[in-house]
Amino acid sequence: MSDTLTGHGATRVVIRPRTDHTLADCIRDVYSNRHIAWTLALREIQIRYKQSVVGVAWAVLQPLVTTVVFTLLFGLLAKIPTDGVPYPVFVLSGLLFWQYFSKVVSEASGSLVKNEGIITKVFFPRLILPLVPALSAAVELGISLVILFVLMLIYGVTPTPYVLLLPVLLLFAGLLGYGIGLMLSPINAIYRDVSIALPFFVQIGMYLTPVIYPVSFVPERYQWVFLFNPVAALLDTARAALLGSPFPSLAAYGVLLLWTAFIFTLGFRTFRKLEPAIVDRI
Amino acid sequence: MTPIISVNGIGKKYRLNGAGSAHDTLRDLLASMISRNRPERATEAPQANPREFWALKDVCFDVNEGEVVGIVGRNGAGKSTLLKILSRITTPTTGEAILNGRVGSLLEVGTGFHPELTGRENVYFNGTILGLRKHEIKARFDEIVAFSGIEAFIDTPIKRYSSGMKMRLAFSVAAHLEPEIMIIDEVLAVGDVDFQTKCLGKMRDVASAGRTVLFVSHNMNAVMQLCSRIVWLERGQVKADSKDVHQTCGRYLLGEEGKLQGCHEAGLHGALECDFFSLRSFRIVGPEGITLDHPIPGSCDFGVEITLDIHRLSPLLNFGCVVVDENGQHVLWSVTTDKAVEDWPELKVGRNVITARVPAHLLNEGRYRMDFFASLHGQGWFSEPGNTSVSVHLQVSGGLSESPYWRSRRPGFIAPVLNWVAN
Repeated sequence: MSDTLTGHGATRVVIRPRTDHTLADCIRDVYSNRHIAWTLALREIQIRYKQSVVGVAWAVLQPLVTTVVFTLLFGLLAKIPTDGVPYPVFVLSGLLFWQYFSKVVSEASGSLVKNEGIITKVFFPRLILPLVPALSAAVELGISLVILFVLMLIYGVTPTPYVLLLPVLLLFAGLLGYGIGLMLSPINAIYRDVSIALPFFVQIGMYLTPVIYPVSFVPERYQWVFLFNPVAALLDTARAALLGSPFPSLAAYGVLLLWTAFIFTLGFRTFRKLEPAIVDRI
Repeated sequence: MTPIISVNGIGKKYRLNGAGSAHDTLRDLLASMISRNRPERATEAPQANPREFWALKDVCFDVNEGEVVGIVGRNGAGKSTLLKILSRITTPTTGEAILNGRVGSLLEVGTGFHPELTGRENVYFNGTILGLRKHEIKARFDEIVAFSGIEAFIDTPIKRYSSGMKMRLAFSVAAHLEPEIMIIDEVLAVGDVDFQTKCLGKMRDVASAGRTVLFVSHNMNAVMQLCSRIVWLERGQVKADSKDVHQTCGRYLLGEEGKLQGCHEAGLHGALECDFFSLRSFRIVGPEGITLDHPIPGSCDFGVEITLDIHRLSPLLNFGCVVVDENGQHVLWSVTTDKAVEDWPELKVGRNVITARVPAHLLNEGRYRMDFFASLHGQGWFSEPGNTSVSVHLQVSGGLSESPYWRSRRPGFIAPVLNWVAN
């Protein structure tokens, strides 16, 4: 691997078989090349809406239709209690958040394969690639958040002042997704199994996370399970900030921090270890 | 002076996985994770494992600032792997390379171009991943577009471009990178002749601006025109590394064994003796004054040298050479008595060395035989041109012209470059 002092465009580069990059070097690499991440994210968004007739409206339409279907199924038919919050608002807030996270995870995991044409021809820190979906998906989330606010207005739900925490929560969700992407993307580049199995696990993940039901829906003696789901803590915090539902316990945040640190370290380690093999075996 | 590029024992091993083998699954990874606790030691002595293949092996060379190095070699010699390692796209298995400068590598023209995006958007994206900052692209944008010559279509999605237009735009971005070290893989083979000329010109500018260039190409004319040094790779190893571009290119073009017999020596190849003279040697002399045993480019003149011991003088004595092409056609005859009598070389009894120069840009590309010519004018032959005469061999390859339009052999026996003027 290469040791770079200032990242892309360094003036002295030593090329060696193995990297002695530390975690701090990795983070510095990402930071000093963040403009490439932005450019890639911008391109992603440009491409996504270039050829579609409805364009950006898709970012509105998708969550809206899903909300209608889920409201019919789980709100009206199954009558899932939602701590007094109107079900459409409840489910949309959860869906938006979950969709952001799952999009980051699945797109980040496929990022190296998707950009094969670039990484086999040009050098830049490849650590950047799994980060791109965290940025591009945030734009879509921003658009669909507008609908959520409109829906809240219709149902007369006023956000709490904690709503200002939302960017921090998104940052955490994005980082978590990035960490998982760092781990899975190089594995996926070498073994395509990941891209086959991942949609299935993402689907399961949604049901294991309080997206369409609140934590209170689960019998109390089983609620501790959510303590180990970092996304549940983030999602519940987002709902609490938006809709005034109860915040998760302090323990949940502790576990969230531990998870984030763990996934990140594991992600960087895996990526660093497999990176030399990526181009040769993709 | 510290070299700007220093390559030290670089090696690259690939594992050959049989096509369609079912080994590339996650199950494999999991299995190997359990069974293999130590990381694989790739740096250990390379063994002759049939599933392994060394694309590069112990490659060493230094490049000084301002050198334009042509990397030549047949397909599979490791050229592209070397460029990929130096561009940091793939990692070496062994060795180390140090690059002391900003590297711009161009292994492909138009990396990351997306058909749905406009020319402008693609220029920004392509420039960014090639290592330019936004403000740098902005500053050069007009220049880039002007160079590509597609100003009118810059805001059109490039899916509506012809492939030539795409190439032009892509090369324009690359040409404006201005790194200290430029790594280029066979990109001149794109676009129409017009644009190729422009590219070649731009490459020459880059080279003359003192930047360091590593350049892979199969186009020997381009290599000879641009490079000041040749690194010749063969089966992953450096076979030759020389600043004598013409000679090395010539050897490369000729193939492995190929040494031309450029000299006939009496003691070695058989004597030619008669009452009038004994031929000591007959040879073709290269620009460096030594026997030419490799192909020469058309842009070089060369000498014919006849060494004789004359025993008896006669005004009828006539020496010279005949150039015969591969089909046995005589391309030219030239003898010592071709000029007016007062301009003939003065021969004397004893050792004579008579020479003549064959001008550059005369012979076409190809292999030739040069026969020794000796006669007593109007009386008879001592050495008649033909299959039995003393002869040497000669090959002309490349260097036919400086013109970008004239890159390969043209029809015709000879290939002079005439001076066309307009008044």
